[in-house]
Amino acid sequence: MYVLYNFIIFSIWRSHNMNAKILDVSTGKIRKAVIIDAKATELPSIHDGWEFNFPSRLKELSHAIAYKLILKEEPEVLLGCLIFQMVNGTGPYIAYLECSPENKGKNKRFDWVAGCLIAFSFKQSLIRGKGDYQGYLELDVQEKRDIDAFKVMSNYSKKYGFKRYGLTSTMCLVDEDGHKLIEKYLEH
Amino acid sequence: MKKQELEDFDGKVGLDNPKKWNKEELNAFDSRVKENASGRSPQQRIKNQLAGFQYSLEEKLDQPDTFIDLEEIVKELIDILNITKKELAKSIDMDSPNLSKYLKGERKFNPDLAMRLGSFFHIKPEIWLEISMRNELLSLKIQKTKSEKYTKYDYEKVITF
Repeated sequence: MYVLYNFIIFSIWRSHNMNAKILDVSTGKIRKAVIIDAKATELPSIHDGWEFNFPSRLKELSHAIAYKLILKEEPEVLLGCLIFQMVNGTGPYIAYLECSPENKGKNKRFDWVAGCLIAFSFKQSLIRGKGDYQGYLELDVQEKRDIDAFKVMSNYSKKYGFKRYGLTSTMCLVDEDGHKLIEKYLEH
Repeated sequence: MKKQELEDFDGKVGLDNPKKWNKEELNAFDSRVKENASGRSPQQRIKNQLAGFQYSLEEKLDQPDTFIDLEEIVKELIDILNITKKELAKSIDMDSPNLSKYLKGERKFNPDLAMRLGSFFHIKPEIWLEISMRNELLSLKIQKTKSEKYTKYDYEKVITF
């Protein structure tokens, strides 16, 4: 029965596309983007120049769904990927999030990619989180050097409103900070 | 690419190896959630619940042929706010039996009521109206299965050529 319930819930997840907004860095104009669910075979890997092996990661995780952010008018343009997990069926968690190689660093083509995927994840928390878990989202930061991890955390804190738990790698986004991201990065 | 990526520290998050969600980690997760919830105001809790409810409705509207019971929706919403249907009706300048008739489809749901409910529950009026229209279209689909009942209504039986 539990398996059937998960199948139904996950089938429902797969049916919903979300409109999002990204920033074209060269023109300064906002472009329409869409977040769609993706199968493992449709996900990028290290062989495509990405740092995470999304197909294998997705297969390893339970209660997880992968999503792609693509340009609405050019759906072949992949902007970023996300693996969102409901840990143990209850806890909203960003397991993996990555911007495409073209959208990282100073020369990125589009900005707001990470913002869209975080806002989408927070929205999932509002929809699927129950009780105290509703409006709560976690992620973990890991870099090869501690100083880089610290900088990522500082950035996530300043830019998106995440809060770090003590000296751990875990950060959380809650309530108003998450609502603000939905307002900024997703279309209503 | 690695150097470039780290310049804005926005490119990726996640662990090299997936987190092992053993009992200890799950308990820690739960403790963090509870700690955060202890500082959450009742207003914020309600805002989260209503937002989550609206987003769920939007998902349901994306699924064709799904009947959404307006009366049930209102019941769930007043439960979130812990108010009675009578209090709701009064707050939107209606009487309770009248509101029930609209929600049951006995009276024509209209943009004015969508605005009142939308404003009261902070749920977009478009959603209310869309649900009502969707339900009407679904009932039309059901009616179409009984089309023989309507074959007598035909201009060809009235006009002589």
